[in-house]
Amino acid sequence: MSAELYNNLFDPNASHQGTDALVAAFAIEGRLRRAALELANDEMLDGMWVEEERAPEQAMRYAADDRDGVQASFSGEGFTVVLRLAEQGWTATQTAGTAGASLKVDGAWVVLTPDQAVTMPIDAMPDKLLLVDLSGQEVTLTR
Amino acid sequence: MEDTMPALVRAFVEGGHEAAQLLSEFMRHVARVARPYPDAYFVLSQKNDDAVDDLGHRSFSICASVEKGRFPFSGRAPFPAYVEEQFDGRTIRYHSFYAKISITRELLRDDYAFNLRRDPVLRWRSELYADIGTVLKESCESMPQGRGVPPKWQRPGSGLRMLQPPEVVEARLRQLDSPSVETLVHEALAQAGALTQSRLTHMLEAVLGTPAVDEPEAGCVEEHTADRMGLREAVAQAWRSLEDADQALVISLSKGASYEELISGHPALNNKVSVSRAVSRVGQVFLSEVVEAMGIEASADATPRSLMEPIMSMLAELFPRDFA
Repeated sequence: MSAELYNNLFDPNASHQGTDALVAAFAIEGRLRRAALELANDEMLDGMWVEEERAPEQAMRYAADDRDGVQASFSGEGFTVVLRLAEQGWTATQTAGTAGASLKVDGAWVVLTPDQAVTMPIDAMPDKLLLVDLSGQEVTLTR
Repeated sequence: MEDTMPALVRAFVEGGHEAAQLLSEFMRHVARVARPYPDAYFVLSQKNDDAVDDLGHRSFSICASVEKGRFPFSGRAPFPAYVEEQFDGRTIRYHSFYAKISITRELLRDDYAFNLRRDPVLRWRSELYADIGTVLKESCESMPQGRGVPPKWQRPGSGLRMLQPPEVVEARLRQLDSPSVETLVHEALAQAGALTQSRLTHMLEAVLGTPAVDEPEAGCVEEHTADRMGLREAVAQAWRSLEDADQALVISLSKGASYEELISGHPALNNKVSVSRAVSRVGQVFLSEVVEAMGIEASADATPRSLMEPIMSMLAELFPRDFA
């Protein structure tokens, strides 16, 4: 019953007597203020007016570049791997170095085939990559 | 070409140098960010050169001197934070202008929220958003979209169905010729699939049509309040005469809080007698006194905006921790 009494203050169609009408007017204004704040915040978080809206967070860092996608080249000890962000997600392409290498990503292994893009289980551009060559030697690739 | 932004920020932070050039850079980027935004996001709901310049200056001022709690500022003003973190130019531009949550976009949001409370047509949009929210909470399912993204809503038990593009959905909603927000919301979700509350608001606004621009309400408070200090004193004095439970009720009402939110902070209001008593006291001891001091006849139904908006604004000014 107390909830009904309280909620009734926010109902524009409810009838109130005496000073209760002032309290109801105050409540209705409060409801509108909350709605205004939430609507403005929703539109911001929804990226309604952000042109780079669909790019993931890390790509947004490069928004000033006006590029649709993001890519970076990582090299070390004769190996080069290019990371790209495309519509379908992140991919890695080995462009230099011997075949049979893999990338270690958070405990997972991503097997590389030279000049072929493979899916990368990441959601942001890393600072470096850890490559394991055919002999098992680990190589840190940097940008 | 060398990116001059980090050096400009550093020079400004360390000695107040290069301010004009840094401000010029700011204005250029702010103008670019502002380009897609409609009038409603700018001061006085008018997008023009002056409004964009004003936005740029305020963004600059905030970056220079206002401490921000959120990532990546952690209690520092943005410019000093950029220098301490050794951000490159792109990262500075990202946090200042281009990020979904940037200093500039936060200002645009705040100006929009202000206009949504003050502009008659935009107030109608806010009320529509609130009404849609009521329908969604009562009869639809929320679908979280992840941290920092508003949830989408869907009809309960939605199975496989053909989804229509927004313009087709709008046309079908118009064909319904229904003024019922509940009917339109359910039909929109059935036709378009899951939508956010803000997208639904814009869709229904397009269907229902915004009301004609109202004339300014008669008896607006600025005309009647001989001196603003009088209102300030009246609000402060009336506030002091309220008991804790009364003040809790005022704070909850001003925030449009739910009953559950009210009693979670004030369990004493968990019964009808205490709520009824608090409502009476707030009406008699607080609002009546303030309205009388404002010099306007206490007719809440006649001019609720002219009576309540300035009271809320004054409360926020006097007690920012509770009302801001």
